[in-house]
Amino acid sequence: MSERKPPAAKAGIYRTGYFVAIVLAVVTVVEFYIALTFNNFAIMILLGLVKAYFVVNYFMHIKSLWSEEESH
Amino acid sequence: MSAAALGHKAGHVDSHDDYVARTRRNRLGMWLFFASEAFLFLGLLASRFYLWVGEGGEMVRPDLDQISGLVVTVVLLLSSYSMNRAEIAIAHNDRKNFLWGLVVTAILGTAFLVGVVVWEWGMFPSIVKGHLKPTDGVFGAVVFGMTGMHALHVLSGIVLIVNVWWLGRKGHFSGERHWGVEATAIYWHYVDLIWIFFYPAIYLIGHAYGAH
Repeated sequence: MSERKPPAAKAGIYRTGYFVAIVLAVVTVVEFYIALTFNNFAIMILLGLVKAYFVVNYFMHIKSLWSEEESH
Repeated sequence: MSAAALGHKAGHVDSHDDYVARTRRNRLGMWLFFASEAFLFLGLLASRFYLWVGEGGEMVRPDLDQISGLVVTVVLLLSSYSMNRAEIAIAHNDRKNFLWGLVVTAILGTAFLVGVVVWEWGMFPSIVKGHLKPTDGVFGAVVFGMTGMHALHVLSGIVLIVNVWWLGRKGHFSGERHWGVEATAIYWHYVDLIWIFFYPAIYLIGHAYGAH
């Protein structure tokens, strides 16, 4: 769909995916820790929304719905 | 009106521009489908918050195994990463990493299903005795409703991934044309997105009922 991108661009996109996966893992561990300590409902929902933002934005490419650029 | 006037030729594979336009429409359709599915999952979440309330009105949850909940969650997050890699790979015509990414995703998705069905549900009590039964009052009904509906989506996602892998092996998809891969990938991430909210709702939010 898109023009072929150079290997450097591909490596950059892979890095973004790796970064997002790390963020999701860290937030999940923080979520788990908060649940076992002070179990605050608002913080748990907020952390869920942070994770959802990363998944929708980077993994599901929601911007490609209205952007002229392709998802990759 | 002739075919030429409509911009088509007999037996002609659509042009790059046609394909891009069709893919954009497909994407919109896919997101509308996600919106309709969201009502189903929001209904299940609403039932959890409405029904899991203690005597004093505080939020409660069943006393489930926290480690198994955390492990299956991490496994599903990892599967999203491998699916993302597979999608990027095919977008760059890297068929080898594309196929491997799909295999890893299908394995992790299956591991998630096994974690839920064997450990949490206790479907095979000779291996692991589950924590709840569907008949265990409001906790059992809601846990099985939520995890069951989600597991059904995971299962259908695995079927889609295996199908895409099979087609990919036969040479389908390319950097320019891979809507089938993209649709499967965003469906898989949607399944992950649902679990992002289901996991704290089932395992983390509120005090474990009956626990000390």
